[in-house]
Amino acid sequence: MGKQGASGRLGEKGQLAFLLLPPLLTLLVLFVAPISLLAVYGFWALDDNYNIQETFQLTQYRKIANDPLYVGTLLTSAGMALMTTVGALLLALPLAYYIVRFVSPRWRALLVLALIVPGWVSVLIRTYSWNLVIGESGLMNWLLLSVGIVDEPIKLLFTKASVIIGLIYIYLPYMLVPIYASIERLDNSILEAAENLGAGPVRRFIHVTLPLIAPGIVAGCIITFIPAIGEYVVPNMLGGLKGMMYGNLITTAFSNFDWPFGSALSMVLLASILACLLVVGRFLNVNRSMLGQE
Amino acid sequence: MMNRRQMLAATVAAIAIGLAPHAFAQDKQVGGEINVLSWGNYIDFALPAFEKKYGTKVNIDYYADEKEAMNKIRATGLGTYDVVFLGVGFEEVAMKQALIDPIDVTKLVNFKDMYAPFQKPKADGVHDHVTYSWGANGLIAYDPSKTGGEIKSWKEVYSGKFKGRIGKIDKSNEQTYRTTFQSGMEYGPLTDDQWATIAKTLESSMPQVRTVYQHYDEMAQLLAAGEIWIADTDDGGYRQAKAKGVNIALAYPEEGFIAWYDGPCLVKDAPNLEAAYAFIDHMISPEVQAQLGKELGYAPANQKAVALMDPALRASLGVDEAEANLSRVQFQRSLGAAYEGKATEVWQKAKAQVQ
Repeated sequence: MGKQGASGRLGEKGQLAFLLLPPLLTLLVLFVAPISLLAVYGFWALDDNYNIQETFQLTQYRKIANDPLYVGTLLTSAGMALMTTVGALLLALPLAYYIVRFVSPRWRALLVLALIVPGWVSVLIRTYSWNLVIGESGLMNWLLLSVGIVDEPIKLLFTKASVIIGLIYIYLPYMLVPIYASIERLDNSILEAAENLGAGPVRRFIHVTLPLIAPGIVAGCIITFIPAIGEYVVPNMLGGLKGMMYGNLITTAFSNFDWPFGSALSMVLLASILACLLVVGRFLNVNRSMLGQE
Repeated sequence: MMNRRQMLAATVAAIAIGLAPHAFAQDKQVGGEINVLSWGNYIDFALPAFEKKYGTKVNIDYYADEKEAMNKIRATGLGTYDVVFLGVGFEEVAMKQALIDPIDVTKLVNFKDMYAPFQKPKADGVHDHVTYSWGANGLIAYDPSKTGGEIKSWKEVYSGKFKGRIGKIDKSNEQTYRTTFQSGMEYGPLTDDQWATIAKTLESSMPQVRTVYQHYDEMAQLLAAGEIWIADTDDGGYRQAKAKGVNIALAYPEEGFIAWYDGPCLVKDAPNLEAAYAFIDHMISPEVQAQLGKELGYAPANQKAVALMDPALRASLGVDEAEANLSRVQFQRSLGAAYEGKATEVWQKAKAQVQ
């Protein structure tokens, strides 16, 4: 019996390995290999004739550490990504809650689809459309001037605020979908039990709903924050001079043929994001929550 | 071992290749296709005539700047593209990186009609490109109805009077030579002290800047929308904006400006070599060069094109003074990776200070 049990376990392990092999191989080829290549490039340097010197050195990392431009821009980008995440969360949470709780099931899917469909259009086009809306002679100023709310056009375009607005708009679906899914999965009987025990709507939301949908919120925050911190298209188009983010520094380095410096900048960003995730994971115990082991 | 038929075919091919230098003058049908990397809206007007004349289909791929073009060649690998348009020293960089091959100008019928400076090879005797267009850069475009009068210098632009209404091109090398002139210095390699002067000049200018833009089409939109009143431009960017009906004037800054040039280069290991030479020859033909002035407002590099232009166009492009201008103007060139790296660093720091 014991022998059979052992072989059964081995069989299970074998099956697991068989199932895990394709995704692991995909990760290895599409993620680990290119990142490793970047890591290696980061220890090389460019000579004056634009040739890469393949000798191990710390030149690029010293440059990043010694010049406040790079760390400063990384912190600014983190701040902007954080504002984007908070803004998207404040919009997505009530929106998802409203759709699940107050919209009939036959309209729900349609509403969610309506919020996701714009994501199928190119980021460039969607960002450019904001240019036309918030520009000095754009739709927003035309309306405000027509109604008489302002006497002269508001200069919103090419400010940090316009970048945040653009980023929230682009990343809202990333936040909305996981939160919507977690609210939809909520067991109504738990909320009814809380109500029967005398908890009001606010208390029910804070003490029952919020902890139960926390995994969805955390997932939404993570998949919004990570791409937002490395953004460069939206800041370029809506921020102009005020839109310099860390992603723009990386793009410039690569377009200057300086692959070693671009690689080192990318590795610093990657390490910073991983460090953030570790901190968040530690504080919120995300892994256990997401696996439903709590 | 070759059989007799293969030997005969090889001999015929060798003779055909030997005769190639003379082939284009006879409007020979080359056939096949050619893969070209170019700026957007730059050579498109000349393609139908080429395709008809040589029976060769042109597959065109666009880029936003020379660096992107070179990265595209590297990313796709040699043996994909045949011709790439490069200039202002980037052709020297591409040659150093073994991305382009020297051009045998004896294969180009129209080369002998180029202005004399454009017929000169580089110091090593190599022709790494053929000039297609040229003009002035480091110029100022402005809306006179908004500025309330003529602008002649950088000193006026950054006097403080136009704070929040100035646009700058987001290219570090252009900002470096513009600021070099603005600071009263000469274009060329810079010492540490000169870099410090440039950084200081930018430090005082940047708080007056409303925004930066990536290319001159964007500049035209910003000027038309009234977001900015004054902008960095080159002569082609100004003429194209003017042709779109934007109310702007052009200033050649008193502190100095620079000349640019651009043209086709032969990508290393070009798969369609014969078509590539036919294409390059077509682009510098008097007809295409005259049309270039008319369509895009760029000055021709082939002097025979002047006779095909009407007097108004000649006057607006200043082509009658072309030879005199060419003898006194200084052309932008490659100043090395260290210069580019420093220019990028100084420009990024200037932008960071106003974040």
